Amino acid sequence: MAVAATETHRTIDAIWRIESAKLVAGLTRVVRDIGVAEDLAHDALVAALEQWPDSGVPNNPGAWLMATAKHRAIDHFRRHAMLERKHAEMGYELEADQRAAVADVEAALDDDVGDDLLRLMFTACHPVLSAEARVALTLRLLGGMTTDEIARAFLVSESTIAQRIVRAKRTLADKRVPFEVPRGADRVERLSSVLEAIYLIFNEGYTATAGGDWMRPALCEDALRLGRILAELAPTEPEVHGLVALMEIQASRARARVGPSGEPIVLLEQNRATWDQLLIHRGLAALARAEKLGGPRGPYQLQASIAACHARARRSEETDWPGIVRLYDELAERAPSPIVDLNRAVAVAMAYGPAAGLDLVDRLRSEPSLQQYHYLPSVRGDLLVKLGRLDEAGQEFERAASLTRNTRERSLLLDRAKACRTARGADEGPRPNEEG
Amino acid sequence: MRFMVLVKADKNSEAGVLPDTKMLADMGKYNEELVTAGVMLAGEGLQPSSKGARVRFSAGKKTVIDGPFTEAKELVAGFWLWQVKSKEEAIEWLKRAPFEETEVEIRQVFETDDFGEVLTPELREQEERLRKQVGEKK
Repeated sequence: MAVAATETHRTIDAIWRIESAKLVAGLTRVVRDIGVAEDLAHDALVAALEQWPDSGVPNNPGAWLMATAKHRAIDHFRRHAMLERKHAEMGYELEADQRAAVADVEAALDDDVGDDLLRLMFTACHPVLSAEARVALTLRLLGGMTTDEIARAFLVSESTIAQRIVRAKRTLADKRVPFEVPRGADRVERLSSVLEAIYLIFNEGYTATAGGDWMRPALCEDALRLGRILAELAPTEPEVHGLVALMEIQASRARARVGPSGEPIVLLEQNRATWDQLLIHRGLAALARAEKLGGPRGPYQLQASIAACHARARRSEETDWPGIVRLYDELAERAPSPIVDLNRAVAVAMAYGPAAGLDLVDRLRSEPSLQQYHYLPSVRGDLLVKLGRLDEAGQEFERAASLTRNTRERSLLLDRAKACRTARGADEGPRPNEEG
Repeated sequence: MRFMVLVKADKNSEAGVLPDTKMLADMGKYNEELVTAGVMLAGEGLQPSSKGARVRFSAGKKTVIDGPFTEAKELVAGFWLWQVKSKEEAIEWLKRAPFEETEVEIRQVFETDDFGEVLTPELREQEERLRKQVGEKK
């Protein structure tokens, strides 16, 4: 009995992951408040946890949860003595659903669910919320993750995430953020806010900013799933496909970028045979979808195009570096940022030699926003090594090591600093320039 | 995690009889659901084994055997590759498939980028510690 109950609970967990976003989205359309909708959906989950271990999982669990949640919604409206009109609306919807349930409740709900999900995504990622609040709310409401799971993924305490979510929901209610898909001029900014949140989740998984792991692949998968969902909800937005393409191609290298003891392996040193060809294929297909929609290429599409240049090169020597430089030129124009300039400098170094690259990197050294960015000294160190300036290179790697919060990356950088010193020592020794 | 879902062959699929319009429509709708949920990575249906072949390796010798093959139940007629959070989720998705009379197998794909073993107890402890530290700061 206990075993059966545990099994049912695992099944309910799985169903929750599949259904919760649709539930919350559908309910928010009715109650117009994400917090209330989430509570109602949660009530339905609790009811399932109480009843299903005995009664068995219903044939259409999604419809069961939705019907249960709607009953709770009616109770909620009664309790809070909402407007008569609203009440009537709810009654009508429930009645309609019950009729449909005879045939197939889910089919009846299907029509609007896509739009509701898209509304939910836009709302959870509204620009009135901080980036970290958007991330937490999106994972919670659209990823179906528990507060504890999100906390674990971001290495923060559960109460931090719980508070973040509560505050975010309150902000949305206070600011009366409408539950809608933005149209017109507003849409571009709102969409980029959604894309940013998804990419932040991906990046936290891809290059963990803190902790003992170089990557947390589960977060990459969560972000990819959200991106793939969004691509079907908003199929005419080139940047959505651009972001999906970027994430698919980056994820294709996941297993190549970690060494046997968990240390990071940089792109050009990766064993390309271990790149995931399925994800590359999916990434290139997503990029083609973006390109087919036409229009000027946005930042995600451009970054995906750069990633695709690498993906298409079977060996690192075959990389089309001048092509990548041109893409960075376009990216710097579309979305100017010192980080883009820094990456462009790396591409220039590869295409036209380390001296040309170093020249560009040096111009970025006074850039305030890069002062704490470990990649700047790390890139500089790289180029200095290539130019044989090992003393300076060693210092740069040490500086980079002191700036990163990722322990794996730090030890890699310190190793490089040490290698510079050792090589330098060998140079000063009695038998210089010996090939090793 | 990824799961491969293996749909078994039957007399009809082996005879090259295509599914009827209703089945195709239902399957199309189901596939669409999988795609819109971000679950489906790939999926294909396979031609009858009469169009396939086997290569038998024995003591370094290779023998080619042309199809068809008789044991229909052990043949695969189609597959999906899904990305889900748990085996239970894969099962839940499979239960929604529009099959009527068949058995479908779910198999977890090995993840080379599964860092389970790399995360030693020492690192785990370190992560826990970091988590607490970061939590306390906020």
